[in-house]
Amino acid sequence: MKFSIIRNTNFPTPAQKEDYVNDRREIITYTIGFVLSIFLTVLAYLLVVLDLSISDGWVMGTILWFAVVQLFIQIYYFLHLGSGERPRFNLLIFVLTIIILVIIVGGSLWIMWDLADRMMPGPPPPDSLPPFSEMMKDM
Amino acid sequence: MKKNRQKISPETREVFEEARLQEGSKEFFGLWVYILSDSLLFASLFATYAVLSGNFFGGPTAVEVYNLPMALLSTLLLLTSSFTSGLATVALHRKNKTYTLVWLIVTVALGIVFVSLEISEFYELIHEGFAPWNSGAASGFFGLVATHGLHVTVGSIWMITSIVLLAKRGITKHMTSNLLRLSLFWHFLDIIWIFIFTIVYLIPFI
Repeated sequence: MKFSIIRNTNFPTPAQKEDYVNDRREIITYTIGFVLSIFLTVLAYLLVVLDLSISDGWVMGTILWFAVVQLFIQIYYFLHLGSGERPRFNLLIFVLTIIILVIIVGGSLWIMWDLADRMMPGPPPPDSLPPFSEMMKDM
Repeated sequence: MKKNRQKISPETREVFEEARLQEGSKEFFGLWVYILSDSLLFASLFATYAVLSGNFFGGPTAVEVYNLPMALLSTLLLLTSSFTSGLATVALHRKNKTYTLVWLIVTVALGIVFVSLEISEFYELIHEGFAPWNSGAASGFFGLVATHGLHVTVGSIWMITSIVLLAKRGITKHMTSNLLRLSLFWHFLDIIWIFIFTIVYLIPFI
């Protein structure tokens, strides 16, 4: 039964004792990850909801970092990636994906922000565009 | 015709033994690659959301309609379900069919509650005018959050199916491989949700 993991029981063979120790360690690992994640989540929530006199930029940066930290916590404690248990190429491919991800998201935001920055108020000057009939004649 | 059997060196035999012990590792790696590709999908949805997040088109804004306490509840639900799926994995390693079933059922129950809350939230939002056909911001929101909700739904179907099969057939090598991949998928969904909670729900309220 599962609860025998938490209470001490007799182990007829050393292999059974090793199993007990390993499973206990696994449960503790998951629990640590769980508790840390809850802590970070609630902390981020409180940081936003309680109107503390911290500047907006700091709050945003902090909760974003909390999300990243929680990502690594869940990856290490829940997925066991980086603890040497999984094959090494899993970790490598994950790192490469993160790089591609940063390029996609960062690149999109950079491009769109730059475009938004180029939007000037008001209509374009009358001579800078070709005549409307010129544009329509190819349709 | 007699096959030409070569003498296999002890080192080679050891590698074969090692590979045979890691039964299901190919499938696991396959799911892992799928998850990374899915991350790219979510990355584009996030980028789209971020670009459109200010375009409310005169309709209701994020601060007006987002239900932050419910989002926190959803986050804690999914987090707990991720934890219980880990406990199911521990029970699975211990070949304990009963507790694997128990923790899997708890996990999928939490997942179903999560999806139900999300559907009711979508209904509320659309009712208040924050609908994907009304504004770009709502489009970005629904594109991202509803896609994640769809992933959770499909994962729940996968889990219910696995529970039924596990109850009928017991713990086999195939079932073990299946459940390990399922729990990896489930952890991934929780990780994505953490980012959704932070970027979509928390940031407008700063």
